[in-house]
Amino acid sequence: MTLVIAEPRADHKVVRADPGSFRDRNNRVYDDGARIFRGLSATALENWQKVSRERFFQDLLREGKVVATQSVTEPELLRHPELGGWAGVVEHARIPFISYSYEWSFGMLKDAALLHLDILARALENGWTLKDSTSFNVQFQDSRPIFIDIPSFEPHVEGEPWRGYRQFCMMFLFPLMLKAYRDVDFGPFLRSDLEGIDPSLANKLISGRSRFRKGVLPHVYLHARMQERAAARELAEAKALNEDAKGRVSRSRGVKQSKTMLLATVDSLRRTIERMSTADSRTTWGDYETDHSYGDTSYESKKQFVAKHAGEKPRRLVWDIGSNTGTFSRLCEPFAEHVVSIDGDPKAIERLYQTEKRRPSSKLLPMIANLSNISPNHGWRGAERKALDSRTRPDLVLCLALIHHMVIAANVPMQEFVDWLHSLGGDLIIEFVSATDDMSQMLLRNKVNQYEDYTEERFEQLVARHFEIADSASLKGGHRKIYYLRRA
Amino acid sequence: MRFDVIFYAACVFIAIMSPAEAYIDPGSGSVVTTAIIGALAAVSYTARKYFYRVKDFLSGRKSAGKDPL
Repeated sequence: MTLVIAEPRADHKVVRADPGSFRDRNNRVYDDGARIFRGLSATALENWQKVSRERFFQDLLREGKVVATQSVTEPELLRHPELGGWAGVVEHARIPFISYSYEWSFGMLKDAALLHLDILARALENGWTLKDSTSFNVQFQDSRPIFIDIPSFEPHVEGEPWRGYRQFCMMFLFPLMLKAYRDVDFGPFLRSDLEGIDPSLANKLISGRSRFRKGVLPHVYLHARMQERAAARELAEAKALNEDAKGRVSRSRGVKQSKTMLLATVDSLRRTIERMSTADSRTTWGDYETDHSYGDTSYESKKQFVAKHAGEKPRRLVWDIGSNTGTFSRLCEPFAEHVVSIDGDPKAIERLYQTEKRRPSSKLLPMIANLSNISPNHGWRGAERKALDSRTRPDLVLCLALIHHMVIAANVPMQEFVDWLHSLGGDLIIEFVSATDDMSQMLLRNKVNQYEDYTEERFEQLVARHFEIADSASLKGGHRKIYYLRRA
Repeated sequence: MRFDVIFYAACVFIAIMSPAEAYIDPGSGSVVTTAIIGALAAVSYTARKYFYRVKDFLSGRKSAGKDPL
């Protein structure tokens, strides 16, 4: 898929700095609502001008591995109050929907890691390096990973170590090892600490027989021990630096490394990660296509209803919440520019990703999210990483066979769930699963029934406050009903 | 009242006890680690490079695609 830089639009003059782009003082990302800009310092501008002429970089752009980028020459933008203070400005192709590593499946993080290593190896071979290794530098354009941090490319100084090694371990390698070697999902760890998994913590988590799996002894055990030794040394040094002692701060230990050492490390990490895999165990709904509770006729009716109403008009962005393995997400592809397929089951999303990455025309971005506990606004000032529902808004939401999980299993009041769906800002195709449905009965088995208001009548009252009920159809012998709700 | 005194005393004690902890750079150990790993990996990397070259020489093929460098 070719990335196309958006045509300049005169009606977007409010340019805002991205609150998550502040760590590197040499550049900052800005958004005017339609176009994505990046202000560059004199050093970053010089690097951009050089690297953009390099053959390897042009190859990465052509292969779609690095985000499409071009220099901005429009005088009104270069004089803009927000952008004018920078030595130069570039424009990036907009990523349709931002996602974070704590919302990715194992395969997604693995492919993002391999992309990072591939780019780093090609940069090193050509006298360049990447100055950091954060997983936030990789995004997904539908089901394809893409590197977005152009100022990360810097000329490589002979003898310099790989400065991003520690960050690569914490944000890519350790989370992957945790899943591949211990079968522990990395999402909660990456969500709770935006810096990733510290070597000392990784050493505690990836222990026992896992210590002898490929890459663990050098990258986890040795790394943690070296960190602990260095910490003890620095602690003693810091304690000695009082006024009376008049001590001096020791200089950073420069350990020179040849380019072969760097390339060998990158190659070793690549081979370690390429061999990683997870148990392909079935989930409750892992084979949704054959295990769902529908008969063939009802299931076809549901598909036809979704295809008919989702295709009522072209859709820019569709969210399929509770997507499972993406059957209904794919139905939206003919009329949607992009589809975000969200499910709380990491295995279902992994299966979806493995299918979609092999389909060049895929418009699906698979994402893991528990809808009763979505990714929050967090990081510096609670604004560095955005909540799931604070990013690009959908113009259509599919919410199929989900509401009973929210109301009965997660105890979310139906009115609040309907209000939240309305707050997303799009039309809605929603399936109401009655309390008499077998699946609802399963959820109610071990619960005190406090859901007297969970009825079709009450549901229709609630949605009618926000939407026009454009169409509805009974499914599964009347136990379920599907609605097309147009935003009023 | 008594709880407050104990609480504030504990805060002061912790603050006095270990100000040095905050100045530890966790990256220092990583720099040494990457040097050790780099040296070990380079041995294997170079060995594989020559292994493929010798193998290709003996089989009369060009080394394209097999060279880890």
